Amino acid sequence: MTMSPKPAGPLDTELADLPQALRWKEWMARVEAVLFAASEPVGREVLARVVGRECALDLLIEDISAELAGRPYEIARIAGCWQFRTRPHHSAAIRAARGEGDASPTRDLTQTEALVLTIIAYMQPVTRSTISRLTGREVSRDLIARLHRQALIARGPRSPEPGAPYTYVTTPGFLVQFGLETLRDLPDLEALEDAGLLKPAADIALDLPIADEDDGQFG
Amino acid sequence: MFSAGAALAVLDPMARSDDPVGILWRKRLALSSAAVISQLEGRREGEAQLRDVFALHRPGDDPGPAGRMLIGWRALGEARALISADWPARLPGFFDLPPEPSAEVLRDLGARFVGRSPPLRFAAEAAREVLALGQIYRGLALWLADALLARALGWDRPVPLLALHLPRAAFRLEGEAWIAACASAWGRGAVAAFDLHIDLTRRADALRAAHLRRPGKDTASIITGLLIEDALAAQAGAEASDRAARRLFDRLTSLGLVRELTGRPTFRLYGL
Repeated sequence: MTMSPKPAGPLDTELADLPQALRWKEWMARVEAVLFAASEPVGREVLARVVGRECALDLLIEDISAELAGRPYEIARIAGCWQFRTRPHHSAAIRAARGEGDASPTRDLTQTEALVLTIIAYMQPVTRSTISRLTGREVSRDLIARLHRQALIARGPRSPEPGAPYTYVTTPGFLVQFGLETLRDLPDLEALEDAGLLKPAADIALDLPIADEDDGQFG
Repeated sequence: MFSAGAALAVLDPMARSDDPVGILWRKRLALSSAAVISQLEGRREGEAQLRDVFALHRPGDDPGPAGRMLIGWRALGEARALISADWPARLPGFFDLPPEPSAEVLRDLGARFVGRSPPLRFAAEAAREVLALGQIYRGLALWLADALLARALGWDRPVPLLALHLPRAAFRLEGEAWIAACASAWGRGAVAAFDLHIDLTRRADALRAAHLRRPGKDTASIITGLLIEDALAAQAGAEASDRAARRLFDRLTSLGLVRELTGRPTFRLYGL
């Protein structure tokens, strides 16, 4: 512990003996230290323990953020709490240092899981057997259950096929995890094809178990 | 615009009628509207898939984006659709939209007084304001246009009309051109809805008048259901079994009173 020698006792939060500007500096330093030492986002009530009663925490943190302007890290507001975080554009460097090549935000998903999730996102509602046909190999119930447990997918209506299998759809949690506002923000499949990132999907679309459109008419 | 007004005037008694056929009528129009918007948004669901999603969906299942949109269009035909205080909380969910950006416009439109402006102009201008939020708001804009038209005309329950006949190119129009495009779509929509209503009334009358020998236990409730619901599956009712329901539907189909809507050998759905 590298603390300046000071009288034992509770932390002096009001700092009444310091002039205004110095007091503010000290409070900024304390809050920054607490955030730096924490591994999780820190809430307002925790930070309030180290500063004076009259201190405007939001202004204080704004001032700290302003000081951090040129640094590769920042104070992020997450779910009402604050946390030190490296700036997003350094993510590639950090991943490279850790030896992770994958740039997808879903590090916890395996490649197959990510593929299945992508298919569900684009094709929903879709059954497990349809997903299996699109991926070219059996998609296990366990894999679906894992995605289900992570609250990325949910059960949709049953499909009118033999056995009445359930279909699967993505959840609002899926949108949050991938930073999407709505499903329309998914990359446009046609644009991906044009960019050469995807094989033309015409055969995929034709392969879907869709009844004839003509039957839906009424007359 | 004049012909549209005339068509809507002809439609007026149907839109105000309390006949249960009006419920089925609105649900059929809602299904077609949802299919149109689904295609507009590049989704693959047509009427048949949307009908399946709705008919096979059980409480607790997530209906998926297309299913939610169909539920939204069906909700347009209910009296609750005109309670504008619910709009900001309710509508974005139907169309998978983020709640924030549209909330203010919805509140504003909900509080707007019809005043002296002609109903068609009032509703079309409101839709234009929602469209200004972006392309993804097209479905919501057309929904609101129908709702506000109903409010301006004094209908208790809106009728989904606009989405079915508005050409895709119309979304690029502004000002008077937009209002003219909406008016002509409403005119065509009203004529088509009129024909549909006549047809459904005829079928409903035939079904009501049908003299079924030895009616089963649930026959009356199934027939009531057919008169107000787009599609029913042959499943066990309150008293009769699955098989009894299937027999009844087979008999009604062979009498030409009810149609099988899917063309499938299994998971069949029946409706007027």
